[in-house]
Amino acid sequence: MKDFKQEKTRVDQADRTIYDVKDKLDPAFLMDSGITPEIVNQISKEKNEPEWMRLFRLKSLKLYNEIPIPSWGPSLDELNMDQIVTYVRPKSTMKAKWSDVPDDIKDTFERLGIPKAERKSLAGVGAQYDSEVVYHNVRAEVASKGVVYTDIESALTGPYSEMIRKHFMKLVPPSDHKFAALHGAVWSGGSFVYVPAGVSVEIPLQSYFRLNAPGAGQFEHTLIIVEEGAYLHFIEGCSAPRYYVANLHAGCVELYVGKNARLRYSTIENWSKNMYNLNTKRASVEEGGTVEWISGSFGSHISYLYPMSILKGKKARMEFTGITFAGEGQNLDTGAKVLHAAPDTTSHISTKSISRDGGNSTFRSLVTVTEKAQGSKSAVSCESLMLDSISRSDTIPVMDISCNQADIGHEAKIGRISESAIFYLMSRGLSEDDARALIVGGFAEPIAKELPLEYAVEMNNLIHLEMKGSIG
Amino acid sequence: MNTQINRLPVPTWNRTGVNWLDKKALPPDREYLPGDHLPYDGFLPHGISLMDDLPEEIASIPGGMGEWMNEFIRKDADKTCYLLVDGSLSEPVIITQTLDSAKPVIRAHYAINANPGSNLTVVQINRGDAKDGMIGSLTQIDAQENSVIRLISIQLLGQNSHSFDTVGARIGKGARVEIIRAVLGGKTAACGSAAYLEGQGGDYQQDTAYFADKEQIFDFNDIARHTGRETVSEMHTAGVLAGTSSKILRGTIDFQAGSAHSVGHENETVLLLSPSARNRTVPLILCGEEAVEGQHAATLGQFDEKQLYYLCSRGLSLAEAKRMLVEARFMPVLNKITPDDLRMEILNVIERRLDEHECDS
Amino acid sequence: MSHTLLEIKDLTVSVEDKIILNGINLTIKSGELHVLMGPNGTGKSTLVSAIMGDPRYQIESGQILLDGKDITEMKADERARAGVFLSFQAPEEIPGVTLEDFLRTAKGALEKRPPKILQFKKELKEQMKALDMDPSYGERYLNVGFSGGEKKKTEILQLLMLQPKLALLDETDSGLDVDAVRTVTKGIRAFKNRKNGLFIITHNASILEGLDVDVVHVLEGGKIAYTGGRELISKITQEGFGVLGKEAGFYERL
Repeated sequence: MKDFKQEKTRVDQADRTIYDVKDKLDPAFLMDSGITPEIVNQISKEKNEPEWMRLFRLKSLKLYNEIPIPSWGPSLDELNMDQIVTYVRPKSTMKAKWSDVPDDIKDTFERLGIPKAERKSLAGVGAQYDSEVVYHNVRAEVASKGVVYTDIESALTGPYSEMIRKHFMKLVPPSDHKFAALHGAVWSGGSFVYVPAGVSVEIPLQSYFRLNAPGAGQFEHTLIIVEEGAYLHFIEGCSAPRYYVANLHAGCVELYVGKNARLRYSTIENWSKNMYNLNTKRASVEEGGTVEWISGSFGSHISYLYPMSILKGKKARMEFTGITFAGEGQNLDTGAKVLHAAPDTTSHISTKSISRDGGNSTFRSLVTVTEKAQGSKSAVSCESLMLDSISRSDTIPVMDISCNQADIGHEAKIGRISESAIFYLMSRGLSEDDARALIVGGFAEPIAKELPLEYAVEMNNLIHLEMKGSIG
Repeated sequence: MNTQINRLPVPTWNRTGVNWLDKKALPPDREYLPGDHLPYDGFLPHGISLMDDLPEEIASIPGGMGEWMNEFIRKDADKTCYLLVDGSLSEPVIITQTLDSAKPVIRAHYAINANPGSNLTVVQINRGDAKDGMIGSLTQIDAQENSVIRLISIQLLGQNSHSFDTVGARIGKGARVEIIRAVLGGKTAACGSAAYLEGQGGDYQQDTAYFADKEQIFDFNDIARHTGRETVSEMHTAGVLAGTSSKILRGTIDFQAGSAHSVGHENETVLLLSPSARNRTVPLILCGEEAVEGQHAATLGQFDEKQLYYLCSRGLSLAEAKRMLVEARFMPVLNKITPDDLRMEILNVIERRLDEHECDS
Repeated sequence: MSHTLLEIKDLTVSVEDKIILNGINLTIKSGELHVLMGPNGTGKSTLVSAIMGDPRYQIESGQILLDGKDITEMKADERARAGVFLSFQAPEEIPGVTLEDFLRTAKGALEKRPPKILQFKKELKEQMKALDMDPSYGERYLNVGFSGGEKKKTEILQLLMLQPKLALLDETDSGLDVDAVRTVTKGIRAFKNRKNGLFIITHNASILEGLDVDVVHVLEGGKIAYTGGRELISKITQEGFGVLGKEAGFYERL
């Protein structure tokens, strides 16, 4: 007798050691744990910041101490803020050439494949190591078009200081939530991009962020201004080695998309699995402009991530394409927010999530359509895949509609890999593990195809790593 | 107090205001006297008897509006109606509560103890009006193995009254519970229903139709909790918002561990007839089980221009075409409402109110 | 030299504890084409699914041998690698996986090394052309949004690309128009050679046009009730399965 009852294959924790490269800690400057006005003043002084920024930081710190932690979302109980060193500056200072970057830092980047990517097709790389920008390079051809791509600290004191003052944390005010306030107080490092009107940046600009010091937080700020009729694709890639102390990432991304401009912002996040990723991203879009978000969340212990688009001009558009993969020990709360505040605006949110090995993924969204947004359209679709019964997958969307001349659609689906699809693939010779990995890869394909090739490959590798079985 | 009523099972951003009951829909601030717990004395078809006391396992079933509302109604109930159902009944039990200035507060506690294999339809009708009037009903259903319970709840209050309707249903093996709601009246109307699909093959169907205009505030919290294998939930809501009315619908499908091979579907269509109405929809799918299928769909917005054009091309006026499309949305719910004269009454109310709003759409 | 390709010995198969096939015996030699007919619901699909190793079908007793090797205990992928192929009646849709990527992965799994890319592309292009398939189908997600006819052609394309020893075709002609049936038949003809074997379930004689049918089996009541030659097909298509009962004993050789 033969019992053909399907045996559920247990898939072991993927070998992540290649992503967990750790260097010897050798900081030039290590701050006391905990955050006080003195620390904030010190940060500001170290950076030779203008006075308004110092005051801004102090105001933010006050808010940080007043605002409670969120009453919703994954638990932050184990996040001990006092233990997190907020500011770790490596020995190296600004470098213009790759060959000048210290060897141990370079070594880590190399193992993550960064220099290779840089040499091949990057327009410029601002790779953030710990909290300081250590490497920066903008290709001459991009700069010649008047495109500014620099670290935000030097921009703060340079010719663009007024522009930064006008935009810095105006989209994400420190009062927005506790971690925005924290960011306002201790932010450090990040990128500033300015694309003048009518300029189309053909090659994507890329930036890598990672954390290295145990217990170090990372609070980089990204500010991008794309003027009327201009185009930019910005890619943010994140990866960090694993440590045993809770790590916090509370970055902030502010995107200003001008009239008829288009900005595509892609992210693959692969933080180590003890990271708290509390990142705030927001875009404002003027008339006829478009913001496109591509977002892949693979790493971190806990994530709160909901890029928001404010469609403030007539016919402004947003598209959000996201994938979240939650494995063992992960609680990834991700999604998107959109505010339709002008007529004939359009939003399209499409997400996929995968939960396995006890991982917990939550899709959370908010679509708000104000009275002024006549003729607007919004479509949300989210699909979740459960790979076993010890994991969780929740869908928590909110639609807040105050406009009678709008079309709003929402679709959510949750399910598992169909056994008959697995059998079909196995009947063509694939092992069960490979069949599952192929189906999950296919599930993620609509996101992968939105990414530049090297990132799509990286994402596929990540999925296969997570799913064990390797395919040709 | 509002943080304890109609709680979203998993909270989200507080700024959205959907985590709890809309503050404006709280019970009116007035004196509430202890009730008499007066048992139902109306007609009961053969096969149904009244229970003097409610067994603890039924009294402990939480309604969809939460524990606070359970207590608020049960403790000081003015009326009680604890039905024990045996066998299959073709005749419905129809219970009407009417508010007036002499009786501005009614708290009614219903229970349906459905023995295995039994079958019953209960119709609850709430009417009348009173200044700061309040009707609260708590209905607790224990649908045991293979029983079928259909609860039709019709709310036709006037515009000065406040309505609270909370239902909790335990659905046993092979049992089926249907809840059919038409929510039309009240200055504010809050509803919550919770189905606990505990037994294998249990089936839950919920159909809601609402029509809000003027300054009406509606607030729903509907939950289907799957714990048994091969259970099914279907929750469908169709509504129209006019005037400066506002509405929150929380609909949750919750697949808990053990609910393998269960299916849950939820959908809502909302028609906004006025630029000042506000709609909030919060459709949750919570999932802790692998082998399940959950789906949600919502369409919010205006009339479909192509449908209007098609109907007009057949000779209907624009107003007639719109009325036809609105009624078409309600039909799947209305068709389930018995008796027939009640269905006609609701249809007339909807038509009359649509006539008032044609101009602002 | 012809040898025994498939041997089924006293096979009993159940679905959800219900016996569907009860003591099937069948032998297919290399180079042979067998046809399986029978009224609806008699278990024809069950038989080919059990040969392929569909986990929904339980083998209660009996044996399935391929090239003399017992494959009864094998999972579907092992059987595929041993040389079994099933053309599904309702092929699965796999979103996000292109037909070309899938075929390359499957070919790699069967041949235990990834196929040479240029050679593979060339072969795929030729086979698609032979089946009147638009080359753009290679870039489309496997069976997603394909019409019934396109799905069946895709199954035959897989058959030609993967070159199994034994092909089981489960009503590959159903739902196809005349031209598509002709294309499928052309594909089967291209596949057939002296080394491989074909086992075709059909209700329709036209798919067999131009093919040498060696043996016809009729399945009834969970057993192979009749076995005969090609003439059985025309008899059944003209007069129905009822006619066989009246001539019982004539065709029966089991």
